[in-house]
Amino acid sequence: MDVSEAADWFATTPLEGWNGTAWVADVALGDFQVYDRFITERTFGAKKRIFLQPEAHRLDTSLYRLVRTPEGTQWIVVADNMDISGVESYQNTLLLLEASYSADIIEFTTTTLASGQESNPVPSVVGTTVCDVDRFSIDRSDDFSTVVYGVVKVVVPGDITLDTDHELLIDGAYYEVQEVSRELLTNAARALRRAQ
Amino acid sequence: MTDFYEEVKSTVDKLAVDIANSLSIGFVELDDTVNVDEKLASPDDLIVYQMVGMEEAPIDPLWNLSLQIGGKTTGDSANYDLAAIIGAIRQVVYKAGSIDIYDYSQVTPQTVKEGYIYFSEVAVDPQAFDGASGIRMLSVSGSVVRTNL
Repeated sequence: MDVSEAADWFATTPLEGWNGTAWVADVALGDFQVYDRFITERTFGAKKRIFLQPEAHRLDTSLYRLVRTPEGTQWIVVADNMDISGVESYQNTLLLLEASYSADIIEFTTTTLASGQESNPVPSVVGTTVCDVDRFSIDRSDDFSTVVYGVVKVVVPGDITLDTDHELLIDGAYYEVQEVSRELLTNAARALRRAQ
Repeated sequence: MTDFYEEVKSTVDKLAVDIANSLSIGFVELDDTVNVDEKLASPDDLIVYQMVGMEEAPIDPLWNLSLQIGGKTTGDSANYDLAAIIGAIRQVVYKAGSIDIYDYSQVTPQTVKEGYIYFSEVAVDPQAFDGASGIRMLSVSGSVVRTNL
């Protein structure tokens, strides 16, 4: 049996893709797989899902890093892996991460004064993106043992650029971006919640 | 109207930044809590400075001023890079030398001379180190005269 026929048979869920300005219909066709979250990392199954798509209906991840399922859930494309039979790819496996948060990306600009020093930074919102937020630890102050900071990992689609000069406004709280990294097809940031 | 202290402070900023620019290196004010940790941890050579104090002596328009200005270098085993920075500072900040005070705290420099700083004591302090970096400062004392009354 040609395994690609089975992949085609179950591919009934269409995806919309975000091209940066608008949603594009039917950019991929496939089906979600059900996995038990306890067989792997804690987010798996809860907000990280597998989407199988036949080769003929695969998502072009160079164009779309954010997709939407018909009921309206938005998903960040984390990884795109080929499933190979013999020498041919018969389907692709997308790893999707639910993007249930929205973040304003805040940039600070300064002006050089006559003294050569910089003026106080002025914040401005330079973009908004959906994202996933995972609170994974606290950080204790080096100076005051009773002071702790909330540390979160924020994952955004791979076509969204974050920088350590940025702050993120998520659910009314400000987070200073401490570190950015490229993780598969996403961009991730380690961010520290700052006092307001 | 800008306060005289702010004018003096901006002049000290300008002094440090001009020396840094002449050496094509960066600068950091030790009281700049936003940037000081990152800059001191960097491997870059820097002009390091701090306005320590300023008080009326005995009363305005006569003031006493104390400040520290020096350099930070990294990977400078014989400390000659640091010595060169100290030498560059001492060409501008020296005993019996003076600089004019202007208001440099805005984007556009003001053209009205507000006074001058007369350097009465300039001493090279012992060298310190912060991790991989060597830091040496000059302790500077001076008299400040406000002339734009």
